[in-house]
Amino acid sequence: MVVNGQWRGSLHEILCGMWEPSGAHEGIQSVDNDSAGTGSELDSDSDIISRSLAEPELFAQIFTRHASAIGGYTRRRLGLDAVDDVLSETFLVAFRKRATFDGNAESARPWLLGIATRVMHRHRRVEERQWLASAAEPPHSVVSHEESSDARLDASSAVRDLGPRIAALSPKERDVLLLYAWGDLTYEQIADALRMPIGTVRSKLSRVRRKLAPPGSKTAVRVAWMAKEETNAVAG
Amino acid sequence: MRLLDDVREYRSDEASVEDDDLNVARQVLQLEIERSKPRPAREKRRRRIGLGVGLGVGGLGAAAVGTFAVLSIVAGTVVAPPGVSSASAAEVLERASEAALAQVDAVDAKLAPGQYLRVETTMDQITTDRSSEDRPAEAGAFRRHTVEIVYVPADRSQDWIVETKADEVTGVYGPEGEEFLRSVMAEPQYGEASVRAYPEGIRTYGDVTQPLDVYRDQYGEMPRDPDDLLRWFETPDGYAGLAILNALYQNLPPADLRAALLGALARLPEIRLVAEDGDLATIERNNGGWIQQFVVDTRTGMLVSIIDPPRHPNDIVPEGLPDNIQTFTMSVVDSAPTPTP
Repeated sequence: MVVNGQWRGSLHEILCGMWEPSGAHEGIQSVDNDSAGTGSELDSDSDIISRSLAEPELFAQIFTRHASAIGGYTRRRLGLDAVDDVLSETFLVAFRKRATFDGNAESARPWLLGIATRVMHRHRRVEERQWLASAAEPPHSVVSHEESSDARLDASSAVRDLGPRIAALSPKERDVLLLYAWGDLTYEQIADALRMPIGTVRSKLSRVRRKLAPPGSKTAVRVAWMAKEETNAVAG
Repeated sequence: MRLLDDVREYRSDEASVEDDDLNVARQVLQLEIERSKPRPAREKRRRRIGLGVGLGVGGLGAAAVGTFAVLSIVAGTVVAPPGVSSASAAEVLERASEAALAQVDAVDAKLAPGQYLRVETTMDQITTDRSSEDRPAEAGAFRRHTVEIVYVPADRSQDWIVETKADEVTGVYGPEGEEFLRSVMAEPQYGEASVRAYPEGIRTYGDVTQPLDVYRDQYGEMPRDPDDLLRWFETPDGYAGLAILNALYQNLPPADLRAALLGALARLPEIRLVAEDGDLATIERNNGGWIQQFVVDTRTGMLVSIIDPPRHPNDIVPEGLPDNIQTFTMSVVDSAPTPTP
């Protein structure tokens, strides 16, 4: 489909070969062969994206470097079935908007994770089903003597119990939490990725900690204490 | 910190993908890169006509259909369809679209003051001992029936009432089904009975708000021409099918917009008609092998149900039971239940 001079084909349309440009099967290599384009592997993401404005094929290196991580993040949030759609959309958007990439940012990963997060909002119902399924998941079976120790069982139980509490977070709180815990982004990177002030990221994460801690637990008390400390520190 | 370490550990076994899982996105990006290169004026691509064209070309359209008995829903009962007529999905959705337009008065204006549009959504969902791993059931599964009723006031700026019935277990399957069910029931439960009021139909999550009809704030700007509306959904990110179905969810948009949404669906290449049963048409959306079906009442232009066929047919769950069915029933009532404290 051509819209305002831009091509807007659906995934199905592309794969069914209704439109097939020349050279369609050359170019982006698998993760193991990250030599797409002519950019050096030593170039920063920022350099590659900047040069890709004149040489679009260089953008393939950004895919090679980050697709696996973005795909893993997507799978973890929405399941494997959603990876094709979300990853495709994320890199299409990133490619089309590459001129807006902040050249001061060394890595493109926070930017890509931000785009992926927004794309995933369209799949909110899928994610809700994922969290509800997690909530319904039975306890993992104990398979060895070592694993049957109380500490191990407690740890396993603590992780499993997080599911319903994460499910109950607001969408934005969940975005912040998962970009921090699963995306390994810093507060500043999350702020850039989600286009929100860093203070908002800090306060949301602080609130998330309180919500995730089991009520009345030592952790909850500790978290509440830490939040107070943080507030005092910010207040100065 | 232990708490966030626990979050990091959560689903950590699903944090990676195989290189093969990246192939589709890799191809899509490669095509876009090729397209962006300066080139002589391309031959104008032929315009897609109807829906059958795209699905006849690729192998995706046929994936997994044969393993699932197509179902349509009548008043909550699963019935076998009589078969597929010669009509295309586009024709069927066009009929439904016209019907939706004819419903403008009925849906938008015939609620007297104090009356409510009552939208009952039922969900029958299979949970198996391997659902969370997206694998076939091994030893146990159960089916849960949930009911949510939204009461939309004639004046939509007033409180919307949402009544949630207590969940019912309607089937337990497999040699370890009972044990699996007990283990799940021991977990914190969702869907306990409640009646809640939402001012102006807006839910609040912390400091974030969201209308019950999620696209409400965009109703005004959404084009009523199906082609334009499809472009509205596809810009800037592309994929439209799931978003359009989400917008149609519970039939809450105004009827002229529902007509346009159905028209936009008719223009998607990934759908096809799989059954017709009187006024009910079952349309299938195949998104790269991930199949979802929806039933449309062509007489009223209403979305009647959304069906997720079994992703992993197995010997535990009875054959023919879909993973999930949601059905939507609309009526006009004079009152709504009182919210519980």
